[in-house]
Amino acid sequence: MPTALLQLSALVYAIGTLAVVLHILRPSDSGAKRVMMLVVTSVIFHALAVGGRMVELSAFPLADAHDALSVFGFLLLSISLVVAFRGGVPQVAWLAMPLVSLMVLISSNLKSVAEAPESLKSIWLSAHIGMALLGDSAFVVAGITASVYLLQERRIRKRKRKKSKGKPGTRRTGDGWGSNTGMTQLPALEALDRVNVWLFKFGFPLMTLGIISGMVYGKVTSGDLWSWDTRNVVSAAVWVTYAAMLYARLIIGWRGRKAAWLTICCVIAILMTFIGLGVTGTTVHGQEVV
Amino acid sequence: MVRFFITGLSHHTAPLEVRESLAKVVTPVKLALRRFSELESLEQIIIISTCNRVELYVCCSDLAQDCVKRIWGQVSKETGLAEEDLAPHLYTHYGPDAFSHLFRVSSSLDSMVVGEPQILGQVKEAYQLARNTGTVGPKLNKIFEKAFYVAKRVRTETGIAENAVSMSFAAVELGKEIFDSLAGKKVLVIGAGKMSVLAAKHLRNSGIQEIRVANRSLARAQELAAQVDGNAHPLSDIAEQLVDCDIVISSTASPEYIVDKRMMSGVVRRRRYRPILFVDIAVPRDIDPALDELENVFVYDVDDLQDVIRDNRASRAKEALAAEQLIAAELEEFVKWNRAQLVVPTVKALRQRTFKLAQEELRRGGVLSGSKLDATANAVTNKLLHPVLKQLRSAGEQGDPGPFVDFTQKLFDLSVDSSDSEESIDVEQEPAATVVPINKKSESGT
Repeated sequence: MPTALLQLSALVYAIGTLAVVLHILRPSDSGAKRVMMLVVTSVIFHALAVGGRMVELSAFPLADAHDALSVFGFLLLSISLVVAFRGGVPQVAWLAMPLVSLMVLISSNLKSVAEAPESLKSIWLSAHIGMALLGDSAFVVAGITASVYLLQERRIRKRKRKKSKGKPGTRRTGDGWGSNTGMTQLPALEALDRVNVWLFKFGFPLMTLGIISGMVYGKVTSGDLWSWDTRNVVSAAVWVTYAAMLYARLIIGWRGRKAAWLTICCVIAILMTFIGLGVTGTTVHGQEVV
Repeated sequence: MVRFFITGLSHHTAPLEVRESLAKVVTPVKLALRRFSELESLEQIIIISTCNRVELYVCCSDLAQDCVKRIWGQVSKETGLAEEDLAPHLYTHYGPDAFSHLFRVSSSLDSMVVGEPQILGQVKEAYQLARNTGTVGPKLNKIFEKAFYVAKRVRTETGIAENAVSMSFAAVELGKEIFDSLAGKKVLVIGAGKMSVLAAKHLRNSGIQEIRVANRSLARAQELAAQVDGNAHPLSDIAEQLVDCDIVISSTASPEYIVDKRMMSGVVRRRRYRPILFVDIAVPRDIDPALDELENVFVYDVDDLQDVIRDNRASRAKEALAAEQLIAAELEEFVKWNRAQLVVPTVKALRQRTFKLAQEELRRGGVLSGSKLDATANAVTNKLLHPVLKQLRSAGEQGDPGPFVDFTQKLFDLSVDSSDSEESIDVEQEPAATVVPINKKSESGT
């Protein structure tokens, strides 16, 4: 049943992604609303699938790669939605759609285990994986926001403006990427930067707690607080970079293009640790897949 | 018969100095309204005085040309300007042209920056002031109410108000791409010339919270600052101001850069890299273009802005055309309605006379009395007059009902009091004024 629900979600996601692409090619106010409704519908279906899996496993649904991809995708789109509605940047949710669609599509085609492994019953492991995933999701959304920032900054620097649309005598219905800011097609740089800081403030403590709970779990199970596997090293490097960036942003006031590029680099590192090392891993993380 | 006309001058026809001297005559407007309304045959008056125009909207009971002559004679006496000097800058519109002009002014089609939102507010203020002073009667009332209605339609049904046209509007549009909201943002205007004044005024209407003016001459800066409710600063203080401000508009005549990269590098750090937008409308430029290389510093010069304006101008031309069509349709309807009003006193008199005769004859016959008698008299009046009234009304709607009205009055020996027609105005074109030359500009807008 949960697998069927996930497959249904994959279908809704595919429709949503198609709507996003069509909206970017032919923007309109009604298109923006349609896309947003599809995003919300996708999240609802996905939530049902994740809930069903939780009931099936009687544990936090992170038993295998199938679960990990699904939950990661779900968290990612949920955070994007919050950013879209609260931060006034719907474009972030739209751009997250193709990525999450792909994740759900892969997830629904992966074999899933029927029972949760014993290790998942540990509160420390569940906390470790849950918080790390939530933190990582926030950073991936920050990466998308940073990409939109760079796109908008480049457009402004190149003095490119979309030509205004609408027939004479009719009131213009928003153009470009959406109607969130009327004449402006992409969100204002300041709004994107502000959302980025929110995501950092939200993601960084979660990432930190994720690492700490992982260390505690390691100590409990193997007696080692820290193991030098590749994933741990990359995660530590990303954590240090994020810590430095948060300091630079909040204390020095660093922002703009360089901050956006660094955010994107860190997100790529996170995705690599997740996909490259997590799935095919031969390390301590390999056994738990994530 | 009441005649409506408009006479005055605007940025299309008169340089700033002439506009200023006329603006002085009509300031304070309240006293000017009282003074003008004492002129012979002038019945109602509204004065619109803005930085771009001084216009008098008048209803008079005499020939409009004579009234125009009396008005400018009075102005000439008050300003000391010779009528011949004033004449080339003036225009006068009568009848439907006058309605059309008012509709276009209120809809911001006649403005320097077409589509700018302030003018409707200024027209409304002028109307309110004249009402409070007691120089507005039902006729001007009707015309202005119609103008507000038309302006509202233009604003909501065409995209004219949404287009950025002037440099400062373009600056605001660019600002919206960089800043989340312009509310609470601080603007620094460098230079206190004509462009700066315009820019600062437009910015004030865009939700900008604080305006600072920096100029080489502090006195001039203070003058502009007072106009836009801002603060004045000397030019030497500029680096300090750049730390605080978010949008900078510069239009000085300086041959050197006022802000160079070296100065700005230090400022950027002190600003904690907050974004800053420079709009350089000066030629030669005031802002070093190399500033654009700095993090979160965006510099737009006149050429860059042209692109923004060009895009909008093409769209604005279409919207202006749509607005003109809308105004033409409203004008036709208004003129038709107004003509129809001209037959009202005759219709009223004819009905009264016929009703009275029917009543008397029925009473003499002694068959009916009381309310039955009145009802029958009324029915006879309606049936008898139906074809005549129908013809009269349709003559009123279709064209000039004058000859038909005169003929009806003579035929039935009616004495008509024209004051019965509270709202009708003689809309027929008067010939071009002979005393005050009409410098009728092309109404194509800025």
